[in-house]
Formats: sequence, C-alpha cells, structure tokens
Amino acid sequence: MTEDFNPDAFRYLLDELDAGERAAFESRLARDPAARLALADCAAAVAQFALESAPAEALAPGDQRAILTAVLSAAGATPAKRPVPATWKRFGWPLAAAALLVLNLLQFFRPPSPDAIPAPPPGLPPPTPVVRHSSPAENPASEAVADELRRLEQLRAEYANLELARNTLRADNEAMIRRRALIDKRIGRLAAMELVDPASYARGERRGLVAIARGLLTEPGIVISDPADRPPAQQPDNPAAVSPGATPPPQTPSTGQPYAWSVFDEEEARGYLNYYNLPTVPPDQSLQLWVKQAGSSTYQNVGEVTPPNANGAGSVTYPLPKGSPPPTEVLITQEPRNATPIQPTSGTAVVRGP
Amino acid sequence: MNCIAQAANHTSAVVQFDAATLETHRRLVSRLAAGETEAMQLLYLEFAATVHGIVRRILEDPEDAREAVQDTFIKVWRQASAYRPERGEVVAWLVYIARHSAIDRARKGARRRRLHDALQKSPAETAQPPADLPETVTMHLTQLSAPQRQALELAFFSGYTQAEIARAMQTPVGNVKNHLRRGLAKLRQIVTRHD
Repeated sequence: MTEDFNPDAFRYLLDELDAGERAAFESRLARDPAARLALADCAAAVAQFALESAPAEALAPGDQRAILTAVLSAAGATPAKRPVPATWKRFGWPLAAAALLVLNLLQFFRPPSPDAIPAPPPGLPPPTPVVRHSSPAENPASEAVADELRRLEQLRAEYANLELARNTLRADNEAMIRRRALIDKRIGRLAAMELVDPASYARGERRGLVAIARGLLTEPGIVISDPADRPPAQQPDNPAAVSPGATPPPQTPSTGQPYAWSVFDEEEARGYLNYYNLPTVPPDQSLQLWVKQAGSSTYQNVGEVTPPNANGAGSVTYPLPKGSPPPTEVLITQEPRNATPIQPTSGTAVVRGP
Repeated sequence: MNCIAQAANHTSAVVQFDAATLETHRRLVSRLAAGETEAMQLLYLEFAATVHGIVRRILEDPEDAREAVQDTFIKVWRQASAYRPERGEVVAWLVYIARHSAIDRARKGARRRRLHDALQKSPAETAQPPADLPETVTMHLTQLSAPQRQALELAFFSGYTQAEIARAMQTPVGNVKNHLRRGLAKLRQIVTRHD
C-alpha cells in the first residue's frame, strides 16, 4: 500500500487531468499494480467522504418509477457497450478497410454473369444485360435504357415542380381567404362608421382621423343574440307548435345566429345598427329596437327595425337626445305591430348586447 | 487472477458495505456489462437514494437532481463494461459518475448551489457537518480539520480546481494541496481494511 496519496489519483478521479496527464496516468495504471491500489484507496476514501457528507436521500415514489422507466427505456434503446480487445482496436479497422478494398477491386474487375440477372416478370421482355466499357454506338440497348432513365428522371423533376406549384397555389389561396375575411370585417366597420354620420356627409364636412378614431373608440362592438331568450324557430310544417295567444315566434330566414354591429356617434347623438340574420316576422308583428342608458334599469324604445332583406340583414339609425352617452345595451325584440309596449316583452328578444 | 478476484482481495472499501455486499455489487455490474436490464433494476433500487443524495448536494433544483440521477444510471448502463474492479468499488465508481453527472448538469446552466455559498462562508462554517446527519455517520468527518473538509467539499461537490479552491479559501495553492492530501490520508485510514 502506498504511504501517501498521489495527487494525480485524486485529480484523475475528479476528471481534472488534461488529456496528456490522463494518458500518462492511465498508462501507469496499466503497468503498475501499486498505482491501481493507490487509486482504489483514493477512490474509496473520497467516496467515503462523499457518502458521509451527502447522506442517501430517497426519491419520491413517482420520481423513482419515472427515472427507472427512463433508464430502462434508454437501456433497451442502447445496449451496453462490450469491451473491445486492445489488439482489435489497433489493427481491426485497417484490416477491415483492406479487406473491403480487395473485395471492391474483385467486384470491379469481374465480368458480369448472365445468371446473375433476375428473370423478368411474365409478359415483359427479358432485360438486356448491360455490358461494361461499351459505347452507345456499340450497344444500342444500353442507349435505350439510358434514354428511358433520362426520361424517368425528367418526369420525376416535372412531378416535383408540379408539387411545388400546387403547394404554392394552395398557400396563395389560403392567404387570399384570410385577406378577404379581414377586408370583410373592416368594410363592415367602416360602413357602419359612414352610415352613422350621414348628416355630416350631407353638410359636406370631411371627417378627419380624430373623428374616425372617435368612431372606432365609441363603437360598442358586436351585438349578438342571446340564445337563452331567443324564441324558438317556427316549424313551417307544424303551425300548431305556436300556442294560441302567444307571440308567434319569428321565422329565421337563415341558419346563422343573429348579430349586429353597433356604433354610436356622441357628437351627433346618433346610433347606428347594422344587423345580420334577423328573423322574418309575421305581418302583425314588428321588430323593435331598444336601448338602455348608463345608470338606467329600463329600456328606451328608439324605433322599429327596418324589415330585413331576404338574408335577414339591414341597418337602422336612431337618434338620442343631445349629449347622450353611448347606450350600454342594445336590444331588438319582436312585438305586436300596432301595440308597442312601453318596455320590451320578455321572451321575445332577438338580439341583445353588447 | 481475474479482475473480480483481484478486487475481492482489495484492502480498502467504503465502510458502509461489508465484503459480501461489495461482491454482490460487482456481480451486478458484470451482469450489466452483459446487457441484463434486470441487473440495472437491482442496481438502481440499491443505489438510487445514494446517488440522489450526492446529486442533491451539488444541485439546488430538485428537477435538475432527478435528471442527474437519471443521467447517472444511463451512464452506468453504457459504461458498465468499462468498470475496473481493481480501481475501486462499485459504490465509489457510482459516486464519481453521479458527481460528474451533477456537475455536468450544473455547468450546463443550472445553478451551482455551492458556488456563492462557499465563497461567502468562513472555512469553519462550511466545515460544520449538516445538522440532520446521524452522529455515527458524521463520526468520520469530525476527524478532518475545517480547512481539510472545506477543501474536499469544494473539490468534490463544487467541482473546483485546486487553484479555484485556493481563491475561495484565500490561501496559497500549496496549502490547498496539503489540506487535500492530509484529509485524504485521514479518510484512507478509515476505509483501509486489513485482510
């Protein structure tokens, strides 16, 4: 046993030696049993220190399982490396390379054997054997095969180009669809802003950016229908579904959900509603527009909604007293045409918001 | 004489394990080298807590520590055939692999828990054994002086070179070498067995 530790053993264990020092140390280990014992002593001493300084700490059961699973998975994917004998390490690769070179040379200089050519499938002519070192003029069959290969290569290139073009067109189409949706949305908002202020346009006043910005800022947003209080759609084949005396439900012209764009111009105290998918109501019924002011618990009737077109779309403007703030709620209900109530009838709301 | 037999006659070993257990560990690693995943499970169950304790001492983040444990056992699997019993016991081999895995992970960007602490604390403070260790376990460490223990801790758990340890302890490198040598000599007396 050594009297004292070789400092290199400690540094070797902690992986602090540079490549040269490490090689020299390992070489000494290989030839000197005393060096190996000294290393083992040092390893045991440092491990003892580490184990006492850092006592075992159990993993949580879940972590333990997860780690073991990962380790076993890695173990299954990468088998443990077998030690390679030093002799094979030194001479194995040069020998293998030399053997491969000899085999390649033999293969290169060996004449082709007709037996080696596989039989063609039934119905096809037998393939013409390709003879090495022959010019096309000497072997027309070889030229034909080469032509066929060139043609195939050309077709492959054309196919790749077509694929590329198809992908480009598809991307363009998708971009167009996205752009159109964006434009539709912007047009809807701009149309609402213009129509809310027809008086300004009639007076020839040009609306500046501030006015436009104000219009954007005062826009309450989309008014959508509330499914909870929307009346059920009428079943045309089953008129008995409508209870006698009850308000007939509106007929929805399209399957889309009713919604509306609502804009309010504070300067003109005028509101504008651009609506879509509103239902068609019977002749004795009308669609009434209501607004609720900030701080008020009641609705104020601001007029009848213009009968929508075949698609249930249309627009309506309504004035409010000068200085009125934007309404906090907009409501469209179905009411009897000649007996509009003071407050909206419950259960007949078509659109409510924002 | 083959390697296993040589190791069986070895004169030093970590004191927590008796000769039969150490022999079992060596057999497990031989089986690992032969590609037996069952041996991997057994070795993991035997040493997971030990390895976790080592890496937790080096890494602050529990998640980093868990990943270091995983790295350790994957390396053990891949390097099983490189294990040389005549150069140390399996437990020592595992301890070094765990230490390397944890320091690799710490150097990859995770926090180095001891870096700032060691520089801030006085040698005596660093040398105090953890309060929650059983008395029997810390018995051997009390034989080390405070600078010896601090130098060993900085070298092993913080991955410091001797020059870095000298800077941290504000002492010449020669003193650091002395602390390490004497500390290791004391530890060697603990682990040496006379067959």
